[in-house]
Amino acid sequence: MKKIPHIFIYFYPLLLSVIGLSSCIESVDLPIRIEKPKLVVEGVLSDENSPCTIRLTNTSTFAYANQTFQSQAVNGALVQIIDSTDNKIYTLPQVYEEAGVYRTRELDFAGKVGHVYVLSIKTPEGEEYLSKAEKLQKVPQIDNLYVEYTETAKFEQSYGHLIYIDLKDPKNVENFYRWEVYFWTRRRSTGVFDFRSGQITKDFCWQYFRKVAFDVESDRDIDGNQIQKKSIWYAPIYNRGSHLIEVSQYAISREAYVYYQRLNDQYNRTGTIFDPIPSTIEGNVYDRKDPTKLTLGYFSVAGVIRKRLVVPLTDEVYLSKISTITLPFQGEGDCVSFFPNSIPFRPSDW
Amino acid sequence: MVNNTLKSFLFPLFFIAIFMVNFESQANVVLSGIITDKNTQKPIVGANISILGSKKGAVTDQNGAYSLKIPFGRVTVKVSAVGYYSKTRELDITDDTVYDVELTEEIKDLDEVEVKGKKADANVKSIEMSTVRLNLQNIKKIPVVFGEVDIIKALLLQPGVSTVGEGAGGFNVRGGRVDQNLILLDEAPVFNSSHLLGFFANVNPDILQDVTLLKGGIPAQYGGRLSSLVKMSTKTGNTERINVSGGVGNISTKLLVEGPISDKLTFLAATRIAYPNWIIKQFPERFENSRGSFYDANLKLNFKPNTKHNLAVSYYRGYDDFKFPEDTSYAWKSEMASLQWGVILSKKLSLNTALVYSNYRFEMEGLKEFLGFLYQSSIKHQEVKTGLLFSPNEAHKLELGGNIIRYNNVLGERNPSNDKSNINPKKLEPEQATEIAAYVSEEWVISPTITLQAGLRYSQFSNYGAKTVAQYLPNLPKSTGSIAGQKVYQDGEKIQTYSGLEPRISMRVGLSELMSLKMSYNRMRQYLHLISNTTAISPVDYWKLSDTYIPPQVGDQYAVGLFRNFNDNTFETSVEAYYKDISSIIEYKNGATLLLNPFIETDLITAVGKAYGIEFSVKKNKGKLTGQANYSYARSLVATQGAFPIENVNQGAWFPSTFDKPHTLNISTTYNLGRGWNYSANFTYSTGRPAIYPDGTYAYKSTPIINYSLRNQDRIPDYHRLDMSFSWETRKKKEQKRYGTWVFSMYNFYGRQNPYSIYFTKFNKTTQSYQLTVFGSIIPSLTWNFNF
Repeated sequence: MKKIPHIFIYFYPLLLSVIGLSSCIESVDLPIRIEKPKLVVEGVLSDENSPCTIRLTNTSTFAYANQTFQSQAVNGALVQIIDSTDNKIYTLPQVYEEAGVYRTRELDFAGKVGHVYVLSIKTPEGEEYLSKAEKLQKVPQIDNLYVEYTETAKFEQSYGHLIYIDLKDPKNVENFYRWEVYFWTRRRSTGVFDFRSGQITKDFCWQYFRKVAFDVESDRDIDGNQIQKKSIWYAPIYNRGSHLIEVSQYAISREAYVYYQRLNDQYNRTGTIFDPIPSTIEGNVYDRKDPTKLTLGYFSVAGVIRKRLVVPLTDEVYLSKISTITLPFQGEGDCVSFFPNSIPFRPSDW
Repeated sequence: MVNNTLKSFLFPLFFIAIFMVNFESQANVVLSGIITDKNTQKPIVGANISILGSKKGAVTDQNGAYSLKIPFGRVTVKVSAVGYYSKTRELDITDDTVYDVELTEEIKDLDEVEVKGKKADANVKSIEMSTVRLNLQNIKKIPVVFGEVDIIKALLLQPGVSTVGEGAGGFNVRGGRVDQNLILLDEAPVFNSSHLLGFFANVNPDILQDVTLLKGGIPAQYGGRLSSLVKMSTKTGNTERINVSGGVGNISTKLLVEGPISDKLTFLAATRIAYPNWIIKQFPERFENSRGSFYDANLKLNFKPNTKHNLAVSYYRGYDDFKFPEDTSYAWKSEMASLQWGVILSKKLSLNTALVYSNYRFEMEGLKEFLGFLYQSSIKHQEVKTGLLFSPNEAHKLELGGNIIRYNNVLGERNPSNDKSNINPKKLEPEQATEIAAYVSEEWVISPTITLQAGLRYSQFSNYGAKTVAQYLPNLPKSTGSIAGQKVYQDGEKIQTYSGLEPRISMRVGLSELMSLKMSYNRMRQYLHLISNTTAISPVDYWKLSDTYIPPQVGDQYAVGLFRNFNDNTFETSVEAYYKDISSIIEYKNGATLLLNPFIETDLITAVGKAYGIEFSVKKNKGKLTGQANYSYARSLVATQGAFPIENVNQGAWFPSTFDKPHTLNISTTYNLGRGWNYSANFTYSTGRPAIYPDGTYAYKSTPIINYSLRNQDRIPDYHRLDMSFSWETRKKKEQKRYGTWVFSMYNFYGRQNPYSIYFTKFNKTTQSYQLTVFGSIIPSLTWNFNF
């Protein structure tokens, strides 16, 4: 239901097809305005026993090419997390290997369910920012994490697993969810001929895939009901070998939900006149002196639960299929250097 | 600056004009009568009665009646009307005389039929300004996309009418929004004027008798929308024989049957069915289960028991649907009906009464497993209106009347569609309201050179329970967090009332036989609003009535125009300037949730608008080459008026509205090649509409995000297009009743890739701008229309 305003993402391409071959999309050059840089805050505080990381950057010009945004990092800021339930202040020192990154150093750092947190930032220029208080919500369990084998022309690799989850939404409370998903899969390349052993080596490796989307859902329409067969992602099958899938489920605030949803809309814009009018996506961090001045980005406080699934590829029916379909796509040389984000061995914590 | 100057310029003009009045000595006797069609016995509206050798003349009113003062003695009276043979007769006038005339229909080659105007010099002589009458014969020959003749596309070639993009629904008149057009089909309002999302107008042009657009100088009889009035009246069926006509095009087929049932009753039935599915089937697998269709149908019955009464029933139904595989299906339908009763009480007095019904409904069905749902929203309009027309003599025309409208508005309702669905039902409380209006209007021919039309309309709107209205804490922006409580209104209990006067003034000053100056001032009130946060309107948008937090939109328009004809009315030229002020229009907060939001006011911002412009137009009405050219310079601006910074767009500064297109040039011509052949060409140019370009990028969770910090500060590239068509009519003799017409169209002749929208996406590591073009190459089409 939340997708209703965006039906035209699907609607329009179809209409354009109806209209025929005359429609087209072309790259154009346009004069672009330049605006002053704005602070971008990124970070999630969860109830997981792990350090909390905050990243501070500035916006750059529209034509900015470097995706890592290293040069836009804000260094030398004083970053603190205030637990206003316990009146505790945690200072996050900067991580020097990574520009613009600040991290808690307490070894047992973990947010507590029901506590209210505020992020405080003081930039080297003396500007002070605060985040709106957010309460850490308890996250419901993921009841099932499972996959279904599918063959579809919708994706580049037409053989794969659709990943689903089931959960029960708690009744009479507003719940907002965000999901993150990644998986590892085994890849194969032609490998490198090792003269000493006379064998082909480095022909297998494990590649990491992370979903780039802000997957959020509200229980507005399904309060207290089952969330059944919620589609999380698609894991293509490239080769014989398992899929190692992990889904993280966050219990986010209503404001965070609205924020992520808008981020998603902006990210998925198709450029038709049926898209919602684009606008700047302000988050929950504001200028201490003028609370109506909001920065970009969001400091989210959320309960989290993670669930893992190993899908062994043993089913003979599609194993035979896979061996025939995957061969032509084999990469050349060392597997790790051929596939980005890959390691030579099965990830150790799996 | 420009606006203020213009405004301060317009007002004094009214007064100067009033002082220019010079009274003429009164004539001695009254010549009056009714002009009727000899075959049908129907009154002829707009027939011209002139006394040869003098400057005296009159035009028949809606009942075919005329009256004029003449001196005693022998006079030569000429009666003429468009499409009829004229009659000239000498009369000896000794006393007040009644002279009724029957005219015989003129059989002419279609090309010669002048449907455009009621009188050749009407644009100079009548008090109307800012008015466009579509030449319905000609629009069948102008080049169109896929051979679909379209009245809205024809209106877009007129000065002051624009659209946000090819294929966008609706149209914008003089910087007004799409929801500010009052479109009436036989007096019933049309809430959604498009098929296929906006590619085609949803009214079959074959059934139309007359299409008139008023951009200003709107008579007091009409109200409820700020920007324009589009009056479409359907044909009354053929009185002589059953006639079948139709057409076959690339996308749709049309059929029309009309004829007499008895000598007092005629019928007309028409339908148009579209079949885009065969094209959809040609497309990739992704769309193979998709389907779409639309149809519309009209029925009209006209009963004329005697010369004094006329009863007409008109019914329209339009339907669109679309389905996407495994996802969602959409349907939207319009239904309109009206019963119009006209009675001539005396030569000087007539009464027109109408019962009107209009219902627009949008439906959506979710087809996803476990998430199946049915959603619907609708608006129902029921109206009674009546108007008295009193013309005691040729100098005065007094009109008074009123109407009552009842609205029932379903803002949105959703239910699970099956047992397995996890969707909870949700329903917004429906809205009920009444709009009552009364008007009085007088057209006074002060002297042969000066005519004044002054009208006053009073309208009152109230909404009623049962309804729960949220109460918000003062001194805080409205949000779900600032709700202090709620007030429950019982069924039928009045919640909020808005009312006000709407003065309408028009004046014509004849500067010479062929030149006149006209001025008008209009105030309009609008109590319903289309909730839409996209550049173009879409079927998901819904109508919202004014309520406790949403006041009516109020618009004031000042216009002045100079009209001059040349060469025996062969050329019509005009220059019109206008200025508009609009208050209480709706804007949306960034990231607003519009659908099924019970606290919609928390996501809306109040804004004001202003628009101004100047329109130049030249028309050639006679000869082998006919056509028109017009240029307009027009601006349309918006500023939000939120009490809190968070409620403002662009910090509350004026910014161009999405349809602000300063320069527009339209040229359309038709050349009669003879032997039934015609060649037509249209050229159109306009400045690109405002758009929101990104002005920064940043990374959030390693994902590049584009930042758009200011609204409508950029523009998409300019738009221009040339279309051509050849049409051939197989009719050899003028009297021939069975014939066909072939139209071969070439839309976008030079294949200009006009930008429809510009969007931005990260490609590899850099963000690229892309231009989306809808009709990026020449689109040929062939249509066959038949009559038998």
